[in-house]
Amino acid sequence: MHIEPSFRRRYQKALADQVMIKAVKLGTGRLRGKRAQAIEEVGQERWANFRNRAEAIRLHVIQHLDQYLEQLIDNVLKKGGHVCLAKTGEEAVRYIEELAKKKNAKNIVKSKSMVSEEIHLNPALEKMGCKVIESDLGEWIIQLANETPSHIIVPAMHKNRFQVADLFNAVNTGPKIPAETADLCAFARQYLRQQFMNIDIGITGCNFAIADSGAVTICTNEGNARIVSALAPTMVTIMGMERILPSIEELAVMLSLLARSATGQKLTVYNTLSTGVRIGEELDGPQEFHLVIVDNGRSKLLGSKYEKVLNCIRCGSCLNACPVYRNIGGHAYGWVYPGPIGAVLSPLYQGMDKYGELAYASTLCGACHVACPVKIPLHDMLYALRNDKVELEKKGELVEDITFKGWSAAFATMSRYRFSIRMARRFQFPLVKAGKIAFGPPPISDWLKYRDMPALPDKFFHEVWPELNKDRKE
Amino acid sequence: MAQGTLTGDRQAFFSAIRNNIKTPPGGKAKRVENPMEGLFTQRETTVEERQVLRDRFIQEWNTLGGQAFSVKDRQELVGKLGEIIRERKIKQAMRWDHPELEKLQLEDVFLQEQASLSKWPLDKDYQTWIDQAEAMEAGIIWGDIAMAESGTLVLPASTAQPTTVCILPITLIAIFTTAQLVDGFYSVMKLLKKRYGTSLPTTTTFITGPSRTSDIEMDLTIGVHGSKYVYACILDE
Repeated sequence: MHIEPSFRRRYQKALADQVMIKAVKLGTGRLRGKRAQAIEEVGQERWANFRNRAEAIRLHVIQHLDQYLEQLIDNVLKKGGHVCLAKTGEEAVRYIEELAKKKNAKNIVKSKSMVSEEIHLNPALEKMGCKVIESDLGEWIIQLANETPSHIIVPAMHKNRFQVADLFNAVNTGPKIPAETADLCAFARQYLRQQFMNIDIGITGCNFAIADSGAVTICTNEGNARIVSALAPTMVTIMGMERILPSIEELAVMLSLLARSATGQKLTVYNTLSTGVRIGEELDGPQEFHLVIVDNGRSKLLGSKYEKVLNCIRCGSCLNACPVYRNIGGHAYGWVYPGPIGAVLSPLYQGMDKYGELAYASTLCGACHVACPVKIPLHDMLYALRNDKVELEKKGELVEDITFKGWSAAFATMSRYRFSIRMARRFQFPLVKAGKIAFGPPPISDWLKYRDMPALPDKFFHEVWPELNKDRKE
Repeated sequence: MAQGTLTGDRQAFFSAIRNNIKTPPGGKAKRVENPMEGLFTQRETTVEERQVLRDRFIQEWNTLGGQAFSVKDRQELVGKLGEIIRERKIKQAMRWDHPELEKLQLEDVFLQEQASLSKWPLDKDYQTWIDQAEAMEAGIIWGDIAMAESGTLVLPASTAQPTTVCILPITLIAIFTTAQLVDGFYSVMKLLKKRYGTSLPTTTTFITGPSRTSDIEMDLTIGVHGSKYVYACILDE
């Protein structure tokens, strides 16, 4: 899939795609509605307690990440699992490539993993001749379309059933599948089941790793990860290093929040808590388990003003709440993570030069913060990223400096403020047309390209107020 | 069990973390001592209270798209199972090797309906059992712990009670008594901690209704990978 390097081009392309916009509005609207209903059932006060508790849990874990990761690693190794510590995405990919080579793996079946998207695992494995199949329905759809996910929870949200039917019919050797959801799902079950039955290596993501028991938790509604971990002789779980909890007691809080925030369910249908390698006489479950713990830029966020973004549990509720995401969909964000969380993560993980513009993909309304189950102040972070970007680029420094310093001086005292707006009112007349300012000299000309500014009125409120107040008192 | 191996530079990996972690002015956040406290119902239940939980489980399970019902005794259970076998046209099924299922003599019920019921393990050879398991139209399991508040079965796996039986077949039949019912997460996690400590079973699966997806046009569809038809038969204590 070709990705435009410029954010402006990407969102312009998105805005022109009415099928996508309609689908995204429908999808996010439904998810928001279901989440609201779930919170209503829980009760606002109890929900607030859940969020506070979850925030406290995540804050503690991130500030003690080294301690919990050490504990997790030791426990996984003790139970016979193998651990790869990957500083970069490349290291993680290399480890899995070597494993696939060692196992002479032909068929690799994956369940959803955002980190695997982040490190571009599939193309690397395909390049070495492996057949890689995504088993999550949405992920499989976008794999067939050669696209990236447009939503964290519903990766193919931007596609309608007719587009899905075309994709399925392209790989179908039987009678044509009608563009009906039930028929499409039935085909997916049958097709993907054959892939499960020939699995050499199973690859899963990780919702939460549990430090004290060396377990990984994988949540799916479809059950695909459950099948992968039951049938795969070799299982690889890829986790972002921050996705860890101390014990199953914290897990109870997180699973309750995750499902309600993501889809409005009380619990995801299949929550699997796995310690990896089968033991004793067990016949199902993996004979070999590999846990790949990925840093890939995460450690540099620790102790920074962006540290709290590591609290994220990838529920996607900030996407559904965001007025910008709802109007441009996920692909406009350009990288793996879309929406407000993506607008923060992409520049931090991939660089300001590539994704710094995403800091402006927000109205700073704070809806993402309100929706976030672990209370990440995403809007504050987007604001901070804008500051960082300006600092980094120092673009237009002189003009901006003069403008903002002048602004700051004029608004510092009441008398200066009154004097400046009186002056502005007196000298605005060459620019005013029908009560609006639609053009002007640089630097405001750029701003006026896309919007008009109302002309300053004959009388300001503070000038009218004494008179109004007098009438009111009388 | 042989210890696993570690790949990667552990020291370098952790120094990147330790060098960056900072202690905020007020000190690092303390661990939440009782994370579940006050968020979930926590109580010991009586037999009568568990009958209320049974009704709640049935309501939740049915809302999710499954079918749950209570049965007084084995005789009633046999009748219900017969109905399910006929309704789903089940010819071959597999079940956990579990003492409670053993007591119920389910093989006789299947025989009466001219169907077969195989006990796990189906075969010791991987390729053979995997093919046999795939051909099974139903899996029968014992619901070890059942959470009423969310309609969830909690299934710790073992050699005789593998997860394959509850995930591969299109029909899942869970049988348990009201004694297995708890309110919600608080009791489940405490129970798991008490039973296993930190040595959890290879897998513990929480199943909350049938397999579902809304990946196409947000249209809810049941049974995309796991079980499409899920039954919960709750025997009175």
